[in-house]
Amino acid sequence: MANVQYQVPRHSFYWLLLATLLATVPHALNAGWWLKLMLPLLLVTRWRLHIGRGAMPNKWVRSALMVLVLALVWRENGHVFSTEASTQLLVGAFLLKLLEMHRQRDAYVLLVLGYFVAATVFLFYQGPFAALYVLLLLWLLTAALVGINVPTIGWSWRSHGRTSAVILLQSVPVMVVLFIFVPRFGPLWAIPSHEGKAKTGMTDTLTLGSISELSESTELAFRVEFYTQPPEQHALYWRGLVLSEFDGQTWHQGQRRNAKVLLPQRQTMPHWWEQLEKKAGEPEYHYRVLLEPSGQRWLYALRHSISSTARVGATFGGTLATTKELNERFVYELESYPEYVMSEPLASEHRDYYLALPALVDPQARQLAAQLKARYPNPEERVEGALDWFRGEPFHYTLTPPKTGTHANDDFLFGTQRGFCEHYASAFAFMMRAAGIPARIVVGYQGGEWNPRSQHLSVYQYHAHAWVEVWLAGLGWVRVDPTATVAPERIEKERTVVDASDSRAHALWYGNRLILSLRAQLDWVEFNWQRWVLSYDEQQQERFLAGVFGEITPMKLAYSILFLVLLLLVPTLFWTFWVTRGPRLTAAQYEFLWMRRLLHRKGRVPLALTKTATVPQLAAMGAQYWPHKQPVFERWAFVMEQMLYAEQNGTLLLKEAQQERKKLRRLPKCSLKHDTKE
Amino acid sequence: MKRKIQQRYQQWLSRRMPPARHQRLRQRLIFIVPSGYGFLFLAVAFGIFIGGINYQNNLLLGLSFFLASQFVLVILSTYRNLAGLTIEAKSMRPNFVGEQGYLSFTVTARASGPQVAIGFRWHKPHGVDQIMSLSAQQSQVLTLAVPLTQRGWNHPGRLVVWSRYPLGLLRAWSHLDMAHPGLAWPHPLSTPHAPFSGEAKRGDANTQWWLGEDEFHGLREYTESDSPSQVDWKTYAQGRGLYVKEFITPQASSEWLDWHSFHGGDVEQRLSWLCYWVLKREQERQPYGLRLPQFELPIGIGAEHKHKALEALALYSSGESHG
Repeated sequence: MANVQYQVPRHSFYWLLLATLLATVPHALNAGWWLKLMLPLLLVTRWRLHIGRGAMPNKWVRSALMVLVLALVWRENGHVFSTEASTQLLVGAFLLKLLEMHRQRDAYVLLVLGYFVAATVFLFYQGPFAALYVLLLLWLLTAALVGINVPTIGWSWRSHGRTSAVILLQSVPVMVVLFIFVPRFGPLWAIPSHEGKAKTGMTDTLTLGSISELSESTELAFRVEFYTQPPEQHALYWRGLVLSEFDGQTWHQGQRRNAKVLLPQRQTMPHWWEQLEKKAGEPEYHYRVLLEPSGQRWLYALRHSISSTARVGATFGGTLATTKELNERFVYELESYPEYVMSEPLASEHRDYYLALPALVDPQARQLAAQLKARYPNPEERVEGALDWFRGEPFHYTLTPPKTGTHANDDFLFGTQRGFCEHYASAFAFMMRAAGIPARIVVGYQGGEWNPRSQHLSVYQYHAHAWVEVWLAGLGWVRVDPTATVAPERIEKERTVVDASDSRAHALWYGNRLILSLRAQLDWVEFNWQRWVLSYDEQQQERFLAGVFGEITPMKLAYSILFLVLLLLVPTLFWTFWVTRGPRLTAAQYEFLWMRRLLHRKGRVPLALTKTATVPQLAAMGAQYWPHKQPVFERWAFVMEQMLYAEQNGTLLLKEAQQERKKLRRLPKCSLKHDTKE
Repeated sequence: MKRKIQQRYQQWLSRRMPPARHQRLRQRLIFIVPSGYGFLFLAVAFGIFIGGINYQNNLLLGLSFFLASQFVLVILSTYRNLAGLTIEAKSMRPNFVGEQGYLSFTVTARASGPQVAIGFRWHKPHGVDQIMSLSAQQSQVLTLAVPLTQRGWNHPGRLVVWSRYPLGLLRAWSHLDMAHPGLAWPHPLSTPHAPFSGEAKRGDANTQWWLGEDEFHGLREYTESDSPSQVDWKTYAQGRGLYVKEFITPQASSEWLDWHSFHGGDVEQRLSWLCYWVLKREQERQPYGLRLPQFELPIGIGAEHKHKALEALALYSSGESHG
């Protein structure tokens, strides 16, 4: 192969190299070892080529390398079609393009492809810093693109950065208009899901120990923005999913009933939803949840919530969920009626379902339950009695409880007496069922951190919680939180530190005031970013535009995009034509032009005809049209000539010429046959 | 069909961009369209847009809008990079037919801002580009070669002035008719018969101003077309080589190179012969005049004189006059 090596201009090479490096680094961090290894190797090789060491590999070597990349991607992901795998392929091909630079065209292709690679960063990172990072990438790529367009030598690399920055800054306003106005619509086709991506947050079963793991995590679960006054801290019970089947060790959702998600307008909704819908209009709380990608279907809400957001469905357990796993951020609006009382009796089959317990487990707990049942015939008193029993025993709240055996609840209740919310919930629900009160476990989050600056609530994984709901005649499902009985500070206080004794590192991190305030600031930035940028969807857009225009029509939208884009471009357009305009006329030339225009307007002398006329000719022409004004024309010509050729005091003479011309303002219209004139 | 379109285009061009020796790239002279890379860039932006929709990812959408607006802005900056450039036809270096002449232009950047990476070439396939970058108000001389294929004026076609700066996504260009053709002198053809003429009136066909027999002029090297009677046998006998004795007629002045002294040859041949003799006389540093039908160049010598003579030969009967 002919090795006509194109040399990237020296002043743009490092722009190109840096752009390539930074565009691939985020992916290298995500991908396996091979990309981490390949990135520095290729960059160093490319740099050596630039300084004249080594030779570009031929196409066989390059093809072999590409096949190798393909194989490595396959090996890491097991396929090449998911988002992750195809991104890795793209990045690999992009990097290999570095080794194929025989013509200027190759440099172009690399850089234009670079914009695409930069875009893929957003598939994995969407915070405000990711946006800044991609902006930096755009700047580098554009600077490199400027660089390869300047083939002449002797340019400073700095000037490319400047040019690039100017172009980017000028692009911002138009981009903003497009962002706000271009209509949003749903996906065009299904995309391969993020296979193998770790699910975060709740699992759909409750084995003892699973929530205490979550409590170690400082990851954000969701943010809440209240339109109404928010509830008190201790009332912030974010219901996620309901677990109603117990097998002796684990609480399950129960495939048959509660896992089923029903969508409004498509299916018959559960009774509770219909009841709330009838009530609609006067919610106690109206708010919006901005849920982080969880890989799960459930949605978190306060008690008795309904939503009008598309894709939000309901379960029989009184929780909300979507029909598909959420791998992207999801925003939904809620109306909650927590004080609403559902007074309908529980159907007997449901009653049996919520009382069912596996035989032979936890005999001690059953015994205690039987005692309680005998002592308190009234179910409400029975619940209170059980809580009293908890208060009376030396229970200790800890994140690192000792292991329990086959009879998990018995071991906890009568043995270790040390546990986390899930132990209390599990034991309490068991006892309630054993005591003849329908009960279920609710898993979700409790509390949240209030950000005073942006007035929003951030709920982190360490807010994960489990509590119990019991069914009481006339009251419906009532929340009982046995953990709150044992460790009320766990609920009452705003939790920022998980548990000082349990995690020193966390305590160090979250106990520091400065860091806390920084974290609040950052949270504020991220919240607003998510609110205004990430979740600016169809609904938001509609709301925003309706606020501006009233009714929105596609034509209105198109016109406003056009209008605003033009409006924003006007300064640039004006500047463009201003800087490229012809040489400026001198004051005398302007004066001459005015006189020509006057003759044109009043005497219909074509401008083209007088273009090459001299001052006396012009004056003579005027005098012929309006003989009574001859002295004025002559005087004007005299002054003009003096100014032009005698080089006398220019400004004074110019003023005089202007005065003379102004005397001609009120001239009557008149037209001669000017062709005889020339 | 294609030719017709081409013709139409040329007509339209000549109406829109009439020839002028001094041209300033104004808005009506500049065309601008996306380059191949521009389309690639737009395709990438569109791909990101589709990705943004499918992943419901606002940042991807935002990025695609960013690229789109960048593209729109680059239209303006590419235009701006070319607009306001002044090109003025300057000197011209003629040459013989079959050689290359050179045309010079002065390129001046506008008062505001630099004009970067501007290419110049003739509008024809495989024209070679000259790239130039100018800072504000700077002037540079641009010299382009023009192949001379015929005697007289050779129009190199329109001058393509183009630029893809800053991003290469768009190409702005202008096709200028600079009214600056290259001049081709006749190709010199040697002839042993000097077209010398005396003082006699031109057009007197019966009088021959040939190399005569009366007066010995000098020796020149033998060529095969010479008659043996002219060979200087004396020199040959001396072992100094084969020479031919040249005589001139004393009445005929050797100072006039005359069109009418030829009997044979068509117009082009005669011009080529005359051209040869002009060069020869210059080389020998001997004064000469030139007589052509309806043209006469007084006797003289020197570079300027030579150019006048060659120019007259170049433009003979082409119906054009220079200057």
